[in-house]
Amino acid sequence: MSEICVLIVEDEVLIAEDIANSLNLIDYKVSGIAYSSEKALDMLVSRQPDIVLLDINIKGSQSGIDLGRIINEKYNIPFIYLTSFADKATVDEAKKTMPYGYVLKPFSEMELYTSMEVALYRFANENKNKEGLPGLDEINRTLSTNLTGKEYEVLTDLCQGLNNKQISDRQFISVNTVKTHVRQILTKMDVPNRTSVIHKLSQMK
Amino acid sequence: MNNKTTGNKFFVASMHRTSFRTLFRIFLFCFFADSIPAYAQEKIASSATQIALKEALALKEKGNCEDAISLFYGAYRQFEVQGDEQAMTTSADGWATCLLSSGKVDSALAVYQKVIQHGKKAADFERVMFAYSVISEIARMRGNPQLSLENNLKCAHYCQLIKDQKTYSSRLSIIGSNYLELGQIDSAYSYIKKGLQLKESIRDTALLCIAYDHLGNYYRSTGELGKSAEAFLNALKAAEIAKNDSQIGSSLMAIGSVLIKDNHPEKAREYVERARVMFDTLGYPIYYANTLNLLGRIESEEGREDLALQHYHQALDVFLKKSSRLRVHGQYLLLAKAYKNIGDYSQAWNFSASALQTALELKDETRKAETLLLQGQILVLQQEGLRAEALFKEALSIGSKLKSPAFQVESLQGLMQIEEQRGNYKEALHLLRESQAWEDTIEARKESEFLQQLEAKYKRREQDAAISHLNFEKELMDFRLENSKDIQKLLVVGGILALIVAALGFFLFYQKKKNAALLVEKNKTIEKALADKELLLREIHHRVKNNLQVVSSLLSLQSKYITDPTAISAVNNSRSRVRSMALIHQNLYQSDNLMGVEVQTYFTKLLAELFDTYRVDQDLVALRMDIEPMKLDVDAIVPMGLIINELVSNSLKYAFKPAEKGWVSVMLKKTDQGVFLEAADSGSGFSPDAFENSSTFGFRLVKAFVAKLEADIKITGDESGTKIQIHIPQNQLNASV
Repeated sequence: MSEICVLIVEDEVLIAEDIANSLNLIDYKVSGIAYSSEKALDMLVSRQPDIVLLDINIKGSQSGIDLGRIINEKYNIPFIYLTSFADKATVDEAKKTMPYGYVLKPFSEMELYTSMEVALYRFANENKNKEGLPGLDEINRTLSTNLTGKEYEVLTDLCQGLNNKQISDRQFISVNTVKTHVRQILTKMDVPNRTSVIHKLSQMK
Repeated sequence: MNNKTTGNKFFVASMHRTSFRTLFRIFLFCFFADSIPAYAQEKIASSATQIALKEALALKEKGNCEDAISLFYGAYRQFEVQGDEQAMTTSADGWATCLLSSGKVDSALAVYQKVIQHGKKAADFERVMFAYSVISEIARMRGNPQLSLENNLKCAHYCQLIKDQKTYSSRLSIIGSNYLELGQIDSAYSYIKKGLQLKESIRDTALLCIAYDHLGNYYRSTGELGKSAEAFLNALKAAEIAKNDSQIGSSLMAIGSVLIKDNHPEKAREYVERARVMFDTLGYPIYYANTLNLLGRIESEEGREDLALQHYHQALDVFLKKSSRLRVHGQYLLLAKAYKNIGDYSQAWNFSASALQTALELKDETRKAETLLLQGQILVLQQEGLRAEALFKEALSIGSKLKSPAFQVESLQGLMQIEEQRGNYKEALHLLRESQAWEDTIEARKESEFLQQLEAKYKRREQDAAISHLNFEKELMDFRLENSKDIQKLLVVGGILALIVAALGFFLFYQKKKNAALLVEKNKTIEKALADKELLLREIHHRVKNNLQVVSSLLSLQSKYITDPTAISAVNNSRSRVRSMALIHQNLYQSDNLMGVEVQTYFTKLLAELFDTYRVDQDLVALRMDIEPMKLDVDAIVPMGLIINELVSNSLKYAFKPAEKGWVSVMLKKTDQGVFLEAADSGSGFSPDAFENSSTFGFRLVKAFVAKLEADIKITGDESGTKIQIHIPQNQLNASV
């Protein structure tokens, strides 16, 4: 819960396993692997991901691009295409769905991490409150249990799309402490994941 | 100006008996004539003349002919100055009509010529037609059928021009009568018939009655008395329907005259008597006198000469009072002949003298000769040869002057009788011969006339035949022409249609051929493309297999340089996984079907290789395979192959202690829901929990593949062995199970 949750939509088992393995190593949590479009639609609801990695050519009635369109319309969470298709037609079609990134297979771990970081940061900034992050008092007024000062600091970082490791580096606290703070924030704000925190804050006045 | 002034003066002179209003206007006009502008004068003159014309017409209506004549004349002169043809026609017409009704026939004829002249210019054909009809009537009454005929023909022409069918039809009948009078019986008949038909078609009983009348006259002249009587009876019926009394009367009279000829004096008298009463009451004196004459003739036929004379005298009285000298002369002659017949020579002489006097008055040589002959005959009967001779000789000279053989004959016969009386037989014989010679000329003339008539008839018939033949030919030609036109049209249309059809047919044929050729070409291209694609796919599978083979070899080589047994095992495991995938691609490019993989073949090879890889003695560990033959899609077979690879590798590595006997089995079966896959061994089992919690790479892969296939996995294990059962749903297998 406290980590950034990732949904992988990829019908190639070994590749999916590989991606999942690498992400788990660096403080992301793979909340699900969908091998087909139908499963993916299920998991978008059941697994509450913060970000989605989308293969374009997947099994099932809908393509990755169709899923991208649905995510944009219904879920408002960032997604990145992972695909071996770089032909013009596919790219033209894909870019219309406003993806936060487009990573070509085969990719290195570093390429994937960078793309995800940029995507999360952009998403956080695009969705942040226009008048800046609301003050602690302002937030606390809407909550039944108040956030602490430290938690507010962590929240500030969280709202810039940082992951737990990055927050721990900034706040000079351990990753585990960050996780605890994040868990506290999610519980107090009564939201399932980080993306929801950003959404909730952006709607606050 | 002079003319106008004259005209104006004329008006003033002639209008003193008309209306004061008009007089006043004319007076004013005359008074100011010189002090107003010329165009205005003309205007006034014109309107004044128009007024005069109206006045004249009104006078004519009232019956004041004398005054009307002078007004018409004045108007006519005035219009002549103005050059108004229409007005001239109108005024001349009125003028002529008035002249006619006041008995100035010759003047009237001259004015009618003017009407014709101006009417033609003014296109007033109605008046022209009427003028012609009057002229022809007068000519007919005056015994000039030729002139009458000419005018009638013109009249008929104008009738047609103004489309007056009624007048036209009656003109036709009258033309027929003209021909009858001229003795051209055939033409007469055809015109009368034509007139009759036309009248029947326009259903005018009055006209019809006239037509029948003419027809009756025609038959009477040809001597067909029965038919003649019938025609006159028809005329009578028509006249009765039309309630035209004068026509009824004349029909009755005509019937009477026919009956006399046919020797039915009693019946004839009946009809004539009716006619006489009718004319008497209606006040037609001349017709009345005619009936009297007819009655007289009937009486004399029956020998009642005194009664006949009585009738003749009555008629004479009427004629003397009401009729022209011509008729009076005829009546005198009739009376003279009647008295001569009963032997009253003195009376006969008296009447013949009156007749001679009338003839002299009329300056009519024919009538004079006729009278002279009668007088001569009377004198001969009175034995006064000398006086008679002088008269006969005069008649003879008139006869020779008129070139009338009939007079010659009669005169000569009269002379002969005188010589006979004198006993001068030689002279008489000579005269007889002479008269016979004249008679012969009459006969000859008659004969030649008859011949001429016959010839004319013949020619006419020939002409008719020729005309009808020509007509027939023309009709035939028309018909042929129409036919040929139709045929031509048909041919042209047909030709065009045929061309279109042919063009369309050819076009379709060409298109079809082209399409067929195109299709064949396309098919060839497609087949070629398909073959190319297959070749390419085979090539790709081959390359993939080769590459995997290279990886496998790479790993194999690498393992030779590793000493750590765990590492060796890991590399070997990886190598076996790569091999299992390479096998699939090998199978694919070697099989006929690039899309599906024959599972039996693949599994056999895979398992053999696994046994080989882990160096398992098949005498110790038996391989039991129960694989239903089926083809599976690559997407399905890869995970299945990898699952089998992991499970069997695991069994071969861990299930059996060294030198322990046992078996490993793999089963694949089709079920209703999809495919059932079972891997089992007889070695030491492991608990399902161990699988669930196992974090080993192999089991993780199996779980992932099972998840991907959306399959159910069930693990049962104890000391007697392990059994792993997997149900793969149909939808994951896609093709060709």
